[in-house]
Amino acid sequence: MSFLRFVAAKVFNAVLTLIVALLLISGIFAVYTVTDLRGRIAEEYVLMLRQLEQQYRANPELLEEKSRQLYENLMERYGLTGNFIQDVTTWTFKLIKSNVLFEFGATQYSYIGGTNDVGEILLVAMKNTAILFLTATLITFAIGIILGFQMARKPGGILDRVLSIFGMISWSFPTWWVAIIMILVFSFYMNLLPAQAQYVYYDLSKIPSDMPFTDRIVETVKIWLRYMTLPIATIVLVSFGGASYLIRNIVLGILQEDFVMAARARGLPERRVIYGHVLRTSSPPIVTYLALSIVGAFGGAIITEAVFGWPGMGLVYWIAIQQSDAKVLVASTWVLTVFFILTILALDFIYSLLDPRVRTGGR
Amino acid sequence: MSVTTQSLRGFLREYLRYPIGIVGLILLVILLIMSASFELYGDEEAIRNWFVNTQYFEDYPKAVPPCWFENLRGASPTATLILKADDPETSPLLIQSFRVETSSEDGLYRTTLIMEFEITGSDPPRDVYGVAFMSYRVNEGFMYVEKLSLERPDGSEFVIVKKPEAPALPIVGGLPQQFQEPGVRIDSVFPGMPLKILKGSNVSFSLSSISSNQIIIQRFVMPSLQEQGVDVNQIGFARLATNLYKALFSTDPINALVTNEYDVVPGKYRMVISFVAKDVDMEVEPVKLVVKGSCFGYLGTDDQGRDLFQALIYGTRWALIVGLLTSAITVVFGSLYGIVSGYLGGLADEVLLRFAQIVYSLPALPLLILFAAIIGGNIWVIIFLIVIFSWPGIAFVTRSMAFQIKSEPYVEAAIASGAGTARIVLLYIAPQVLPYMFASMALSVPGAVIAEASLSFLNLGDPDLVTWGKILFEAQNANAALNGYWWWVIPPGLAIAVVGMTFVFIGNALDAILNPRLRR
Repeated sequence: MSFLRFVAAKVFNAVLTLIVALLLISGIFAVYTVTDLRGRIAEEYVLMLRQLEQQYRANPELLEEKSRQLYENLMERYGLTGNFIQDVTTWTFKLIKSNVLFEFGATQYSYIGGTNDVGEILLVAMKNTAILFLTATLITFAIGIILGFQMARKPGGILDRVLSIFGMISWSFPTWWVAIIMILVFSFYMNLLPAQAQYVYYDLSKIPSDMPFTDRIVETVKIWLRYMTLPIATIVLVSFGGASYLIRNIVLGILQEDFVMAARARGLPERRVIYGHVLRTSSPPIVTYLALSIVGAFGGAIITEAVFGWPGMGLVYWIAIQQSDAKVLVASTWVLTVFFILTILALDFIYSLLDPRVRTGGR
Repeated sequence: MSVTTQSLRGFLREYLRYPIGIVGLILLVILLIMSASFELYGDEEAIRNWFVNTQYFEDYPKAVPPCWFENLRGASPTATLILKADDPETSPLLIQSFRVETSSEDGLYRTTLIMEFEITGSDPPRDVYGVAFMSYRVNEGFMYVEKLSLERPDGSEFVIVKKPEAPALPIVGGLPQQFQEPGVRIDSVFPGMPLKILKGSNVSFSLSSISSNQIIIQRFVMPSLQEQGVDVNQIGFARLATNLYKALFSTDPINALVTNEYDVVPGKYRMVISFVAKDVDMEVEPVKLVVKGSCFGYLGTDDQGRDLFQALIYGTRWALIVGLLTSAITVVFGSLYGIVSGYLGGLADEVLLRFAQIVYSLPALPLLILFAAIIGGNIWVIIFLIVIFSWPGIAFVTRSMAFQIKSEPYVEAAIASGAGTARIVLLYIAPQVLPYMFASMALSVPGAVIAEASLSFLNLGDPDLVTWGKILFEAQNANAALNGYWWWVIPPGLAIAVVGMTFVFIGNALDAILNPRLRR
């Protein structure tokens, strides 16, 4: 039953986090919206008051009456009561509802995919972000596991030292800055790879439709790879050092356990000890670390996307900030948060499957 | 006292055993020197005008690389030279290089502006111009430009504007009007100069705008080229307008005009402009003489001509302030939160822990972006926001440490003797956690610096502060990487990384010394 309890606790945590995030995001947007609407009302009021003043110049009492009416009309049209806290609360509830239902309405600016529906924009963006980030994470981990195990086998060796320091150094670089440098080197100086990925759809649309099916698939993959290589290389370059170092630490800890010595004493070849026993035992903490590293790398990866113009969440953020489109900013933050919390939950679940102590309820 | 100094000395000795720690200290010293060097070499005025008044940088060449680099790669760039009358350092040079001579003969008042400048490199300068404070009142007739020319180091002279000479053969009925005049009316050469009266104003004489001026090219340059046997119609006006400026500096100007292939004659040049009038009251006061070179300073300039070296050294202080302050607040708050939670235990611990976990599993950067975008980015608000999202990690560790410490006999004794919670937390548990706090303070600097830089890179940072992130934002907006402006993108990012490395190295060394048991 402990397994169920573990999962239930994790789900409870995730739901709680979601609720807090929902309140935070909706609340701050409500404050913004109400302030914004008040400003707009004030503007319109001043404008229309001038007309009224000319109209009722002879009759100051009527003017007063009319101007009060005007103000009330405006407030009603924009759905405000004048009481700030009350207005913010109403708006918060309204926004909570739209966020929970993922109904974000339309935006006046153009983003990606040629649509104005915020929900559709974010769907495309999330898909592209997931493609990029997932690929980059998987590559990072493949490299991290291979290098981390090699480092742990000879702690203090050359590989171990070099990679440890490389990990520390690469941790200090903003990923998006490395992205700029990659563009400088590979797009400007060497002219090898495209710097901006927005054109990926344009290139895709140029594939002739009468091409045989298999050729088309090959061509599509080629185009995606061409535009993905630089962003992925950037993310991997910045994160594989740190990943290797942490996996090395995890493995090193496990190598000192008794069962490893027992396995070695039994005369098992080192390869089987490492990849059979140690890898199996170290997978739960590695998965935990995977979850944490996603936490850490996600933000940086998003800005990196913006630098490359990758048509994902990063680009949406970049455009939304430049246009100060608060609606899209809020919607994308909410979508990201949900995705993020669900990913962590899923990883916790995988962790529980991997760790026999959790699975069987033993301690 | 002596015990403290001794243990401090012992600590130092041990610290110096870690090569990484030494590297960290060296980097820290470099950063401090960089930060302090702004007080010495910094230009407060430049930073004050950075975003609000880019006019301040009008005399600097735009988007040019640093001089040392151009020299290093074998090019010989032309250095930038700015001589100003109100700058005590360069004003003596200005008086030497920018002269005003007046004379009067055959009933004409003649004022000649002579601007001397030296071209050292193999690139033509981006522009050469002198600015003079002029006031005049023409009492009779008009004021004319008698001659406008560039004397070159090879002894030749490129005459741009010249008074048309009277034809050698007598013309029946006298000379046409324009040949009788002593020169060319000023307004047809310098559209900025009023014909009759100028009441004290700065007038700029820029070689590049003179040599691309349509009137000058069509009325003076083209006819004089034709006289020399050049087929100007074949070159065309547009080509002339673009090539003339570079041709002025070339060994063979005519060839350069036709082919746009040029090589620069280095040495002293002289721009001579002389005005004549029959009766004029005129005063000319040199204000500045500028040679906009093809390189600038230690770190080049951006596309507004701003000196990037200033931004780099000025940004250091803010990176250090943001990094250190954020990590200090984060660690102190996180540690106390964790200690209190661990010490209290039970339901309080459960609630506190759960809250920390919730904050921990929120995606920090997206929320930071949202908050900064909506609340607006004062630097202190940004520091506060970063703290909000980064304390839980520390709290988890100190909580588990507090669990261990609170069962130590001396803490139990304190509880038994009636010490309050605050006293126990602050005086009995916190000192034990202190070493961990120091190490993690250093280790959380890079995250804070990168977070602030990321916000600035998205243009959500403090709008009034010149920070490294903001410089990179502007570089990105100007497509610096795709234009190859490496001097604009590499230094600020490298500086961010150096701050990060400094504290990662120091933190790792501290961690190894102070928390030998904690290393898992």
